[in-house]
Amino acid sequence: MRYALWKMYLRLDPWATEYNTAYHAEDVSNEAKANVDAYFERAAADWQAIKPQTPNSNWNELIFLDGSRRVEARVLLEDDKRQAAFGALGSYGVGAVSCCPERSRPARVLMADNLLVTERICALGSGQQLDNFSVKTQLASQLGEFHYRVISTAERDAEAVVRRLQTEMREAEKHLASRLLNLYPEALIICDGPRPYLGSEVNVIGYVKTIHEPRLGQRELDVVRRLNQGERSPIYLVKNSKKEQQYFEWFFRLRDPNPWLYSLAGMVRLQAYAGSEPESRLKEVQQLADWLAGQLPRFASRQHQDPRAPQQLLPIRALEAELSRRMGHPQIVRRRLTQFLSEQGG
Amino acid sequence: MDLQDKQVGMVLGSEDATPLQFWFAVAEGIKIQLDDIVTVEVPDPADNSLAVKFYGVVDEVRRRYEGIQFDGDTQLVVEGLMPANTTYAAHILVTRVEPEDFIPPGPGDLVYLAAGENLEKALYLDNMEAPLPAGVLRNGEAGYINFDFVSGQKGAHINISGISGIATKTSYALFLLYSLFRAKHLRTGKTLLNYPQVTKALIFNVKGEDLLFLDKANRRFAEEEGRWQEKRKLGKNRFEICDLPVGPFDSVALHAPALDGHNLMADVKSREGVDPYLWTLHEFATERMLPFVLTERDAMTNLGFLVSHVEEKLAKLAQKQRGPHLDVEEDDFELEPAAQALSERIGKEEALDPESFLTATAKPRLKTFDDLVSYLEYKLLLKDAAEEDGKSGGDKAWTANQAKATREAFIRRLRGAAKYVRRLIRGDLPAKTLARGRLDILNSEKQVHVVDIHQLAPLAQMFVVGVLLRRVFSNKENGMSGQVFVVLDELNKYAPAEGDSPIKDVLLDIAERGRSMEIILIGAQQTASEVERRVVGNAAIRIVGRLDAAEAERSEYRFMPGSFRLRSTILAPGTMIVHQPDVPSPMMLNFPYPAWATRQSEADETVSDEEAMDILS
Repeated sequence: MRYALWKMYLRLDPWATEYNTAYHAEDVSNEAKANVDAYFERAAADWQAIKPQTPNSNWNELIFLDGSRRVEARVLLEDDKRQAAFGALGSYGVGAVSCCPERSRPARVLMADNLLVTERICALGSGQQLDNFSVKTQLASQLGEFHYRVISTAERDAEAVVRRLQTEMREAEKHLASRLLNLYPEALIICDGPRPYLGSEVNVIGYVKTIHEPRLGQRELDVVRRLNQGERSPIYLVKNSKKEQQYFEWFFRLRDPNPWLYSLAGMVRLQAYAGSEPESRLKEVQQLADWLAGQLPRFASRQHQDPRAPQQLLPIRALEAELSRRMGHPQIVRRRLTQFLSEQGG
Repeated sequence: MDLQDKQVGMVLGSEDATPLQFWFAVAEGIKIQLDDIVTVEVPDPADNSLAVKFYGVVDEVRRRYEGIQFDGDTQLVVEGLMPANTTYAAHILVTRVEPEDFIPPGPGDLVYLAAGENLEKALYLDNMEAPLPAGVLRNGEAGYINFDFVSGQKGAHINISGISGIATKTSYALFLLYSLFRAKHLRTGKTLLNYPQVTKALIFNVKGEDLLFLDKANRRFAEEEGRWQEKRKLGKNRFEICDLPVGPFDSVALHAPALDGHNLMADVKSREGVDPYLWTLHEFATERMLPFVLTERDAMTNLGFLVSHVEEKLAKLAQKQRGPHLDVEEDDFELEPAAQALSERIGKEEALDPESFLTATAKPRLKTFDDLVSYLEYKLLLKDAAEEDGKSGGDKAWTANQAKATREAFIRRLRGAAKYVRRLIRGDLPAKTLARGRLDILNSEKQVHVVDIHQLAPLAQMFVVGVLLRRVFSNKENGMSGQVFVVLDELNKYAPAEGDSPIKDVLLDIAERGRSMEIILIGAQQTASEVERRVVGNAAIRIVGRLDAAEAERSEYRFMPGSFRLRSTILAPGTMIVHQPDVPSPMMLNFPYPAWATRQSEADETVSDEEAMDILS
């Protein structure tokens, strides 16, 4: 390939287009890059792909935690004279699936102890507030009653209410994660999305499907692009002025990409707690990273199974379906809301 | 709600629930299988203080993973990589709605397993004046047929379809017959039969000598039935469940065709005490049996006309004679040498009989079926035959103006038939001897008559069945009392869907008029589609054993819901699907191992101590 140096190729992003892309390359400020200690585990000269040996299993339960949210109706808060604020009526649900790394038990959605939570939210912008309200009908054939909790954000734009709903869901995830820590102290909890700030527990992992702001240098990124299935990058430290919020992060390749896919396809970032004394925790996190490298590819979905394959993990895919089922059929919810609002008059 | 009723699930909301069928989700830890019977109480939507009760039978059960998307997900769930729920659902065919408000059951309505009174209602037992035990249901309780639909009260006739050898049609027919004779009314404790003393059964044995041991206990019964009990962990055997005594048939008469020769022996190998049967030439003429020796009769053709004419002439000829032979008055008729030699030889012996000696004349005497054929040939073709114009020859009074070709065809067919029926139609023995071979079922003291025809050629079988049934039919027409149950396998041979024959006429008569005349046909065939529609259609009780898959799809079996048709292709021997008019859904029944011997090896020859003492004392 004489011309390879100059030749450019079009390479496919395997995710379905409605999910955007997993890779959001943005110009990262030098300041952000400065916050990253890329050479925390390995020195620059030694910054290579790591293929972990199969370590002894030290976790006998894996819990995947995820949330799901949706907007069922956009509303506007107004009176006869003016439009006071944007609003959104929506639902979110959070839940967890327990899996056995030894494959000796079937996976199950954790239902006991109210671990599966769904809630209906009315989010209002511009700092507006309303009383919580219920949507119910007199008809015996219309089962179920919707209780809406009203939350508010000071922001004024139309998307702010959706972000507020997202925040509410993240809060619920965090709350669920801390409950799980108490209920299942022996389990490793993998949160879909960035690791919530929970405290110092090592057994809470963030699993980030999208790759924003590559905070590594070009040389390190080249290493990342060439990772094979089951290989991880060296662990780097993401620093923070609040030392307690410092965390470790590393890249991990879930599945070998085909040559025609872009080079970061099938890549995830994993986050673990670092805290104010990262040095003392490194060894523990290394073991964890190596162990996960053996586990995660099993749970990765395939192209035909999910539009976000392989990053969308199988237990999470099933959990999201369950959560969405529990939030109710969106069209029925919307019709019920239309009916409710029409009966409010005004 | 009956105390025994156990809650087993709730009506599904993800499938349509209709008044006639619905799905229900089976509760955790509950086993529901095909044929289970359930009830649902559905609140009246307009008035919650009222409820409509649904009774139904499970005709489909399914389990699946819920919440998975691809076939491959099953593997992932099994490997523990993905969570999923197992759903277990059962489909109900509604058999009864009380009161008759046909509303759909509501999602979430509770479903109970029917027991006791509810079970009886689901099977319409409460509506049956006279329930006839017909086998054991899957839940281990007795299943009943409404005897009013067997006896002629409301309907009559039973029809059984199924593959030979696997469907156990004859065995089941016999069990039903046994039940008919032995069952006690559930409430009164009396027999179900109106006139038990004069009720008769006529069973045609078409396969081996299987049915010639009905009156012997089956030595394998205890072992085989015990095996079933053990498997089902039940304390009672199936006869006991049906409240029937265990034992062989009572009051059995066995009949087999007479062998050639002078001693009139029954043609059987393995059994003693079998009566021979045959008919005299005289009976042949007076009882107008001629059409039954001709396999096909086309009523509209000249041949059919000729047959009727000759039949009439023969009846007249025999009218004034006493038989068993036929005397004819012809000057120039001579029997063929061979036939004559036979006649003479017999004539010499007969001369010892003073009565026949006195009546013996020089007149030609027809003593065998072949004589009769020769005589008819003479009357139809040979007499005065001189010219070759094809029309002359034969007695004008007999030929009925039929063309020579027709008459020749008639004789040809008779000759063809002669070799099969000559041993059954005889006039060459003394009247007393031949009287022993007379098969008169209605006047017999015995109740159950087994007529063996398995060794006969098809044409002779047709003859025997046709003649016997017609005799029964005309006896009943003349007002003889008591029901007659006729068990006949291979209906497709006797009353085929296509074509026309005298025996088919008799069967049609029985099918259509037998109900009022108390002749009940328990008919069986491999394939109902090959049997005359009216014969099958008139049977109130339809029963199916194992069916061929292609056959099960035919319209004749549409009385069963699809799931039963599908299941009929995998039924094990001993299991039958029974459909009766007043129960909308068929029942799946299991009938007991026969308590009577079905072959020689099963006939129990051991003598008990008590019996031995009786004999010795």
